[in-house]
Amino acid sequence: MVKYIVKRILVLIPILLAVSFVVFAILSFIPSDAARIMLGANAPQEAVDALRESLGLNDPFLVRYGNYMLNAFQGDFGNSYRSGQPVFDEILVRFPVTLKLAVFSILTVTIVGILLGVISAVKQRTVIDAIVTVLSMLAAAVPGFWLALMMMLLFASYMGFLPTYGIESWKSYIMPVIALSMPGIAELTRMTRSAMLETIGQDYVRTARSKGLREGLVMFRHALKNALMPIITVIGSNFGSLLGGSVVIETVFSLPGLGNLIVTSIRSKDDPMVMAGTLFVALIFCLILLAVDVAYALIDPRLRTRYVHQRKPRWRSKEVAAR
Amino acid sequence: MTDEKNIAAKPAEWELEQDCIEEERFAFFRRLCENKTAVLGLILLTIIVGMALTASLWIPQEAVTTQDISVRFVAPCREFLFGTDGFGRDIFARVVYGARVSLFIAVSTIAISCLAGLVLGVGCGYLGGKFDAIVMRIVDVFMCLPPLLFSLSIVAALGNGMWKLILAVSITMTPYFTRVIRATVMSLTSMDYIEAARANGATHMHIILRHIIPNCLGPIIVEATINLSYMIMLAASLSFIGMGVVSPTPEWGAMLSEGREVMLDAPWVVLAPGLAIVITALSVNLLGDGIRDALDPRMKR
Amino acid sequence: MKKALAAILTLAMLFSLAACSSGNGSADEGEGATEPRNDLTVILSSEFTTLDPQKLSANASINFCSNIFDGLVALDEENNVVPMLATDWEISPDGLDYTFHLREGVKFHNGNDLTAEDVKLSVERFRDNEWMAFASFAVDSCDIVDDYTVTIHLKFPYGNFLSMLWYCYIIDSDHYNSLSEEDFARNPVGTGAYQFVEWAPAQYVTLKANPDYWNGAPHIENLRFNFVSDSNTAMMALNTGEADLSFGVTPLNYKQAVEGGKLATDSTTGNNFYYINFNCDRISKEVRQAISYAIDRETFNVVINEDTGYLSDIALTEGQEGYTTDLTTYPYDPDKAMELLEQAGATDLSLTFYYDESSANTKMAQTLQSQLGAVGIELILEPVESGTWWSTFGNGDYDLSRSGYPMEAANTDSCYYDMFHSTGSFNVSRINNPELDALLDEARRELDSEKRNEIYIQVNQIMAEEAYYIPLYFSASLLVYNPDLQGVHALTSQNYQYKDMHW
Repeated sequence: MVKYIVKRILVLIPILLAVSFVVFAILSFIPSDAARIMLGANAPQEAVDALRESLGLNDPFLVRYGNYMLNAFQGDFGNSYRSGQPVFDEILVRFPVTLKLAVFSILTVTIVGILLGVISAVKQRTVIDAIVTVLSMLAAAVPGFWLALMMMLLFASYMGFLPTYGIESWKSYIMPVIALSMPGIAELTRMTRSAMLETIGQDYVRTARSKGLREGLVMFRHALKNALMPIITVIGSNFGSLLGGSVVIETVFSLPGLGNLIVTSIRSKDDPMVMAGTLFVALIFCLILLAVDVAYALIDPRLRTRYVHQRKPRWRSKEVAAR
Repeated sequence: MTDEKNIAAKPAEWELEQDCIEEERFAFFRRLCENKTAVLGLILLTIIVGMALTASLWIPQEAVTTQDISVRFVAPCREFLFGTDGFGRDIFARVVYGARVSLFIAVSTIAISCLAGLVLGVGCGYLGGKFDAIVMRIVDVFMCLPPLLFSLSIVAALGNGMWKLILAVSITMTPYFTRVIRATVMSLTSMDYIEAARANGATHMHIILRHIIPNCLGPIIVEATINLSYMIMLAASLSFIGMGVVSPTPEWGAMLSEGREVMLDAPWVVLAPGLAIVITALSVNLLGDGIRDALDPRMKR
Repeated sequence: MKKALAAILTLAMLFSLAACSSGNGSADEGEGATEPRNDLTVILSSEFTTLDPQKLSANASINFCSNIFDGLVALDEENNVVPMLATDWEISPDGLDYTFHLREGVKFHNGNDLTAEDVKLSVERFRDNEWMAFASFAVDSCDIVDDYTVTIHLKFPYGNFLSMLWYCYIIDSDHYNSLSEEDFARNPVGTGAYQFVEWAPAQYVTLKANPDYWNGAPHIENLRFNFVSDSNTAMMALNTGEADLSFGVTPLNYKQAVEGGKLATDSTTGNNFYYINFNCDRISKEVRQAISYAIDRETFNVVINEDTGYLSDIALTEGQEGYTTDLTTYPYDPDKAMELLEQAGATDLSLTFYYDESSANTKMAQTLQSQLGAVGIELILEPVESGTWWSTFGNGDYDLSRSGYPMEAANTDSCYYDMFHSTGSFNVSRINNPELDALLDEARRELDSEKRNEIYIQVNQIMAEEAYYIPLYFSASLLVYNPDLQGVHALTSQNYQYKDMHW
């Protein structure tokens, strides 16, 4: 197992290097004047030129990339053009917000999604099943940022019991978490439902039932346990898309998270910040994929060898549902 | 697309198999029509697309951008069905014309990335070897970034605008389609009839065009419809954070972005475009699910 | 069993991640029924990048810092120069040397005494940091005379020097020398009425009263500044009492607050002047004039400012050097615009409009597009990120753009030179007019205010005749606050002094 994990982590290194190259290339595509941004409108042109030279902005692309990576390997990801502070300081301040948002959302997705899925599978072809199905259909069609706007309109202004900004109380996370987890809930509910329906028909579930075990116990001990694989896939894939989705949601709720930081930095052309932020997200994203695969391998040792060679796309989990 | 279908429909050396496909196709439509939710989705989508396509016949194009500050922030009424925005523009006209923009973006990104994915996926799956290895490593790299973030940085590099947005989202989605199609192709190449065709001396081109691509169409159609609503939302999200289509082009996400500032005063400005996205995405999802189930009858409802 | 284990492991991992990252508790906003409050929560619409007082990039942070730092002098509300850390000063007859006598017994927040050493360091940093060049361009050097006397030497006699000197906040030299530049930027120590407590990036900054402030201790003990970029959110926070004061709400929200009647409001003319600028390298005088007639500024003011802005033909307000009404104006007249365009042979024009993306700019762009469309000019909108805008401006690759400039209350020179001189760093209209340059150069070195006034009137007349830019309006300075808060009213400069506020 350890060997497997180590191997997977080693595979990550070249991938992340390539990601850094892609992002660096994209960023150098954008026309802008970093030195001018750093010094402001009023700085004399000579000072701007001098700074540009000293930052190495006049060097060819590959030289700049090489220098960047050399420094990065020594733990120096550069200083923000805007604040002059080391970028990683800021990222480490911002990341917990995004992480909390993502973790709370994934927990909400997991709990609500599995619960609704199981209920609707157990109550198959009843009104409850129909309601859950319709709701999950709707939830999948609502863009998170619009839901966020609607909630703000409703809760924050008309009722005033949820804080409107800031992150100091857990209440501040309620609206963003709902907005962020809605598509995941929809997906997991449907996934759980169909996975459960498949296992409910299996022999051992019938056996368990005929042994006179309580219905709830049968469902959770036997049926759900065997439906776990696709469910974990959906959860893992959602964790990744939550990281991406938080970019928009954080902007809507003015949350000081990583996504918000990346958007502001793209706007103000703060390259070192965008670069480090994006790399950081990519790293976390890959680690989550890894964690999901490890969970897989723990569940089913046969998969271990297979998944080393051929990894399924997981950030768009609809593929799973389509299988 | 239709050309390829015709090629597939021509009776060739494997007539028996082609007959099966014909029958399968018929069964597909029968199953699709039996599925009430899918039919509902189809009807809704037909209405939306119909409205979008015929918009210029019943709403003058100028209504989309005509500004009139004497009618700013008018609540929905008989004259302005969905109200007006801060420039005094008719939101109803903008939402209807917005369907053109949003659907065009979604459909063209799907078309571009499917086509690119088809070329790469068939190449990878059929050729295998070094080509496959290299392309798949690149795909791995591109998939290391959440799609929204990836398209965001591409839009930032290219600049705002509808075509640039389409390009950015297409680039983001291509790796995904490449993977799906590659997997399908790989499972096909080991099929008996492909082996047989090869043994009969068919050329690679012939096998790919006659056998591989026609049989990939099913999964591609499923993926395309299922991802269509995701495209609509991705494009809207990008425009919403100001990195995509720019007002006055009536894109739904851009309209929401503009309306957000005034939503406490004039909630209708954010209601109409948002509902438009929800209804469109819903109908596409319903139809997509129906198509998927109809293509794969083993999948339980 | 293993499957259950895996599920538990996954969940446990997620939980522990969340646990590691969870920050700690919050401060309650205790609101006694009888006790007057001693705290104040202010909303700031944008975050600072630094609190190094000599590297401040935006007026908002310069104003914020005036509560932590003092300058040698300050401007009062009538824009007169008044003593602060300098009690008095002498100016040499040639106008080159300014000798300041420092207030004795003033202490920094860390307990250090204010001495000439600190002033010298501050003035030198003020001179050397590019961000401050707009205010410090005339400074040559600073000499210590004795512990409480310094002399600042200028490069040339500059009549407006004192009115720009308030931008030079005095820092503690010992504190500065003990920290790296990065740490210094995050730990401001000044002599001001409030001392710095904490800065949580992207969330808030807290300050507490300096009880030993030389100019009298402030009334309110604790200040908290929350960064809220969204105006709706800010309004909700004001409505629910989560925040007490905001001067960054949008005009629409301001109007809501006025109509709602629950919150106190105040407004006055702001100091930000907005205009549409041509790229004069590309667009001829005739076309510029024609376009000027096609612009209905009233509409701009309604769409962007909900009619709160102050329309102006000139980048000055009454009473400033150079203010005049005797100049060419371009009243809204689309027919005349079309006629002039035809005369200039410029039909079927297609122009690009570059702007950095923001809500107000997007509105401006669309209004402009619509108005120019009405006279047959196609306007292509090119919104860019603010970072990109600078390079576009630098290489001159645009036809039209928009600008906002924070005007100085008591100094026409620094703004005009910056905006209209061919070498000015904010010459976004790309003006290159030798006559104008000569006048601006002359005014810069003119010590007599009356004479400067006459020169600037000439400058304004040339500017208007040549139609180098389309003046739009001064935005309003809007203030929404808790009605219980006393000692507060809207300021043109938005340089709010929390020291004077009380409950």
